Amino acid sequence: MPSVKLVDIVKRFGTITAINRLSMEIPAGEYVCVLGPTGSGKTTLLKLIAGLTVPDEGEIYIDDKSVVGVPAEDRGAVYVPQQYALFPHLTVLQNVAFGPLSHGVSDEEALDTARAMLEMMKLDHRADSKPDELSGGMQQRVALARGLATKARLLVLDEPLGALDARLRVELRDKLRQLAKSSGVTVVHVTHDQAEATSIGDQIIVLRDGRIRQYATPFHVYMRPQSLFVAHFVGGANFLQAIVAKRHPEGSILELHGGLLVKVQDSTYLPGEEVVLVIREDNVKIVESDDQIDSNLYNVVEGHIQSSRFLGGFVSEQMHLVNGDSLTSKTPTTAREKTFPAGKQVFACFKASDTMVYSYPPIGLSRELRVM
Amino acid sequence: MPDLRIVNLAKRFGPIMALEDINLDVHDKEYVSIIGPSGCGKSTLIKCIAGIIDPDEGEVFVDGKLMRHIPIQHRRIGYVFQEVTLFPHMRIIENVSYGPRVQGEKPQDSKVLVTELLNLIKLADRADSFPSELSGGAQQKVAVSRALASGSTLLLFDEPFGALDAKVRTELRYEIKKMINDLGLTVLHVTHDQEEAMSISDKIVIMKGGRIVEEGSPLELYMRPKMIFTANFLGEANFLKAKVTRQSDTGSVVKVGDMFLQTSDRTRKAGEEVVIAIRPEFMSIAPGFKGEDTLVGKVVGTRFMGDMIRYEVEIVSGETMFVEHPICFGELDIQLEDEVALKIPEHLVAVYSPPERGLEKELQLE
Repeated sequence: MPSVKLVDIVKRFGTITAINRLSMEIPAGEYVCVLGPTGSGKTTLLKLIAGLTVPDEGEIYIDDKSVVGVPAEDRGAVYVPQQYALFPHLTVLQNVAFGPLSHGVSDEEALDTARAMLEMMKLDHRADSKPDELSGGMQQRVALARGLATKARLLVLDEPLGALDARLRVELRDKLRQLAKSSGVTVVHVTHDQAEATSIGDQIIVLRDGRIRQYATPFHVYMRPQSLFVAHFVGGANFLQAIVAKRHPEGSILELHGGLLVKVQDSTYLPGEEVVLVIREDNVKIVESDDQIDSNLYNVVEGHIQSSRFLGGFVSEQMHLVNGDSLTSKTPTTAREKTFPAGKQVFACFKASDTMVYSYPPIGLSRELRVM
Repeated sequence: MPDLRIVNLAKRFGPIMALEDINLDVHDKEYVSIIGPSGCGKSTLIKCIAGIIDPDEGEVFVDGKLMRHIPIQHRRIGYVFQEVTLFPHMRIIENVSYGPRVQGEKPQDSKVLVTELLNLIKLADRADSFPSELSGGAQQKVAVSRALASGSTLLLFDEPFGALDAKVRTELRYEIKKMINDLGLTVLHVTHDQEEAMSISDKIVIMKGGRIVEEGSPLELYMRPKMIFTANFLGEANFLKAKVTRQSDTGSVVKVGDMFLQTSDRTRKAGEEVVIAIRPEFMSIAPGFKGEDTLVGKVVGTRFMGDMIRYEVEIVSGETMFVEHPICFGELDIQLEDEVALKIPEHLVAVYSPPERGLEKELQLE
């Protein structure tokens, strides 16, 4: 169960800095998910840890030993790439058994391990098939099973569930975590799916432009995002431009577009400062009449419904507020099976204690939130 | 009026029936999604409609017109698939106006439409860029515009957002959906993403093994799925074997182990074996064993999921249930190993006859 430590790592590709002065530490036995948009440096970070690429600057330690220059196979690490390469002439079982065999295990033991892994990946019924007879999702699971079967102590996984159907991905992510936890390996798992990261990781690293934007438990990343980008990328939210109108020790009053005033709990910014008000969608309630709500407890803002979307467990509704801002609300479907029709006059309500406030980003709000 | 009608379609690849007995109507300005596990035939179906694959049996009608023997370029159907297929050496505006140009239109005739399309996808300022200078999401928007520039009002989408990051995909699907609404287009959209299908469709068609399993509005299929496969594939569900014990005023009572649950099902008699399905967020979870009409058990796992907490509960009859509690309903004082009761509104307990080939087989996704 190795620990991993990166110190001041820089990795450049031509004029592009893929990893930019990155330092971090992963304790032994931890399951860490790396989350970030395309081009944020996720795969490069994995390759640096696995030993498939060498940093331009900085040090990498595994179990406190410097490993820069040490090849992948001597690091005790197994890297499962996004573009898996299975042996086309071997059966699924032989492919998976290759993992432990290459690590010097007896034939019998390798086959036993391989069978157990295939069962876990729900592929035991395809053990004798050749890779090209399987779907892309199945092949990816074979590659993952092969990586897991090596019993390496450090697993480095690049989008291990990426090629799977959404429904199957949900089923397998729990299994993957269980397996990692029961065998005690250290795992670094790259994904672009925030639900996957939240449900598997002990910790989440949010990466953008080769830098760590936040490294914390899923709970902390979600409840106390360190930046607007993190709030947007993990969980999503409403972002409203505002100016601080008044400040008290126990909270502030913000002025939104059109002079609309709302109460917030934050009191770190000074009157006149440009800020962004952040409200998670599930913290916005929509009611038909404002006497249904306690206005001492809630900010109540008038508006009308623009559109509604059914998401399964939640219903999401987009509102156009009186001041011209847009606001999205998310309600558990069990709480309201019917949505309001477009055009209906309603009130959006949110508590001061459910708001977050950030300084207005120097690069502008839309650039700060951009994920493409 | 681009109605799409598919009648008795069948397609065989060697020994495999890729499509069998497919009948489907898509009405003017309707947004219909097809979902199903890999290999269910959804892509084959859309290729038959586009004219890329010839069906062995059955017919495709567009606007009441028989499509047999009409080649793809004359079907006036826009087709967008997962791999972005823009011409790399052409600027964005040239890519979008490609269709009208090869159809012999003069550039000035299609200019208004092309400009409108680029405005709609908010890429008018990138008209002179090359595809490689745009992100994957933006390129896919251009591909959709190009499909529309030829004047097609029926669009076929084969996983158009499949290769994109989750966050980009979510943003893009609402943007494209708005564009489709604004232009009044008809869409048939193949996807493997359940949430995507539910959030943008008027109707969802569920496929499995080359056949249509069930179709309906997203809300209908999610809240009241008629088939076990739908309950399992569209969203998530807990499945339990149970037995009907008696009829009640509002439905019937079923027994799970030694526990009793009210259901609103009136179609089955006392003594019948059934399978019940309950979605994780349809249950409320409370500490302590209490009351009738609840399932009771012990918490064996908890997980923070952002907008909800997911509990894994081992009920006393031995099965494991997943329960999801929305955070906005307030915090609960429930820890690992706690004894809990699960309460389920009777109309949210779905009751099914046990599948012939066994429950486990029925729930297999591939």
